[in-house]
Amino acid sequence: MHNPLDSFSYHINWKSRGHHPGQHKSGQRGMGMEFAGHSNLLDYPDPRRIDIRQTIRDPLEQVHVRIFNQRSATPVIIMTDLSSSMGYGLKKTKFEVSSEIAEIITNSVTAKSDALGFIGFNDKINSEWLAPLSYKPYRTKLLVEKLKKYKSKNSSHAGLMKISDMLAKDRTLIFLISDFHMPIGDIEEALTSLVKHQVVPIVLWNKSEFDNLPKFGLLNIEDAETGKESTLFLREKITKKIKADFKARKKLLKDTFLKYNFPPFFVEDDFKSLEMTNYFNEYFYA
Amino acid sequence: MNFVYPLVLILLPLSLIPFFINQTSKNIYSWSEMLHIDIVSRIVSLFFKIVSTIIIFLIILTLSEPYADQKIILKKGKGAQIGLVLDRSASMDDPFAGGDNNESVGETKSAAASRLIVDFFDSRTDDMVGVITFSNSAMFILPLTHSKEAIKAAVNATAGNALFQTNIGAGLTSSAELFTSIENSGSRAVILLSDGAGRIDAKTQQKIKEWFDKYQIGLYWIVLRQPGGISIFEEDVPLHQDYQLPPQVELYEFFKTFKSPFQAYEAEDPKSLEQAIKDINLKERKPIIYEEKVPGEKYAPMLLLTSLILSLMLLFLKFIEVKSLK
Repeated sequence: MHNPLDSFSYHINWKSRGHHPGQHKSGQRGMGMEFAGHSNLLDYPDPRRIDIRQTIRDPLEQVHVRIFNQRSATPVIIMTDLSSSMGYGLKKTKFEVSSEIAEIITNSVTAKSDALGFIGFNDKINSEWLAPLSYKPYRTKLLVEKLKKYKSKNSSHAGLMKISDMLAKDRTLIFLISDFHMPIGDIEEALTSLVKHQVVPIVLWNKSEFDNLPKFGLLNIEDAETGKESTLFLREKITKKIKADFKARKKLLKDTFLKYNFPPFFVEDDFKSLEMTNYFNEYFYA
Repeated sequence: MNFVYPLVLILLPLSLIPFFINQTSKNIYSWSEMLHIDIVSRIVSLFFKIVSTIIIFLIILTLSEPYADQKIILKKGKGAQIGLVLDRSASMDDPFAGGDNNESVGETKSAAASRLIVDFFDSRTDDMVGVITFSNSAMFILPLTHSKEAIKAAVNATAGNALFQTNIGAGLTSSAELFTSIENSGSRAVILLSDGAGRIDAKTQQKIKEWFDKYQIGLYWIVLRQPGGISIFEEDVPLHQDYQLPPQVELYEFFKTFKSPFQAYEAEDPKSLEQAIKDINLKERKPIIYEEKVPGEKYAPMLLLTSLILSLMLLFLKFIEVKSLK
């Protein structure tokens, strides 16, 4: 069951460069708890932070001030795949599921008072599906709501390769929601362009794609993106093969993402926020 | 191969439709590259398209109603090629001269004749019969044929109202014409059934004689004698006032000069007519080779059945089709 108020806890394992106060480690000097070093009162004229012990110890009798790093906000971007294959789904389309996930991410990000943006991509990146980074992410919420009812036909994922152009220079936490039904080469190209950011690939698969296939029968299928038709004569041998293929695909995706140090998060039935929290605790040690 | 409606064949290219239009029942799948389409699946899918193509093709063919050419079969049998020359003059509607006196109204001559002739052909199997009737002129009814129904219908049709004249010459020349365009089976005969006779002029006599000779046609003459009429077999017939023999006798004398076989019968009542016909029946029994036209076979039912069977096959495959993914 999807709870619209659900959220998870996340953190980053690098120092944010943001000025805006937030809850992540930062390189910015300010009103934080993290001790960064000492400075001269003349250089850093903050009499509240005068370090008396250090001042007494100095033979040159200079007045020393303690410097701390503040905690800053970090930019977070939600990227969702708008290609036609995401229209697949029996009870819920993958668009609906990704909208739900995006909603939970939005909750979590606002709770941490980070800046949030949204980019939807299919063949290209349409400004209609673009929400700039903001601490008050109204547009993002609007697009997430719009995603729920989105329908798409004959569009693919080519925009993913150009998505890094849309990002700021600062290291960004990216939630990339897609089924990743695309050639590995394309994924690698996209990840290479995103390598200076931190990507959390959320792999949306539907169990019905490979798990509950009928044991016997004829299956007419049409590819959601290319519209190519084919007939499949299902037998035990074939269903086993499809299952095995998806298992191999999962492994391949995992290996590919780990090569870029972007551990993937697989979603097959429901998105569980606790698992997402665990994901950050597991991979993003501070 | 012929077609009743060849224009329908214009639709034949439509049978390729399954290769162009999309399937109607299908499941959208996210990424078909993940599905392993094996050779069996490919064959099944191709089989689907080919079978549907064949079904549409057969249905269009069925609509055009193809049929085979008619065939001509040579058959062997016993019988003869018989030309039936029937008198249709009004006097044929009179009762017989003899007949049963007990019966108040006897059978008319034409009715008895057609009844007995129909019986005659019923008892024979392989005759080819042509029918000519004549009164004031010859009427061509039926070419030489094997069809019993046609023969019966033609004979039955002769019993009816008619004119008063008896133009035997025209009837005989027409009957000779029946044989001109048909191969001689070895046994050819003309049965001339008349009451009384008419005179035939010398020119026509010559022609008849020549043709009967040329086409080797035997002649059986059945005379239905009128009450109190002169018998053709009578000797010393009294001459007419104008010193002529009575027409029957003159005709009899003329027929006797034929080179081809000739036999005359005189019938006074249905029984003697029957006797005469039985006699002919016995004489004309020679092997005969004849051609029979067999109408061309209709292919439409067969084509329809084939397409039905193929459709049932597709229906079966439809039953094992997966309606939707779970």
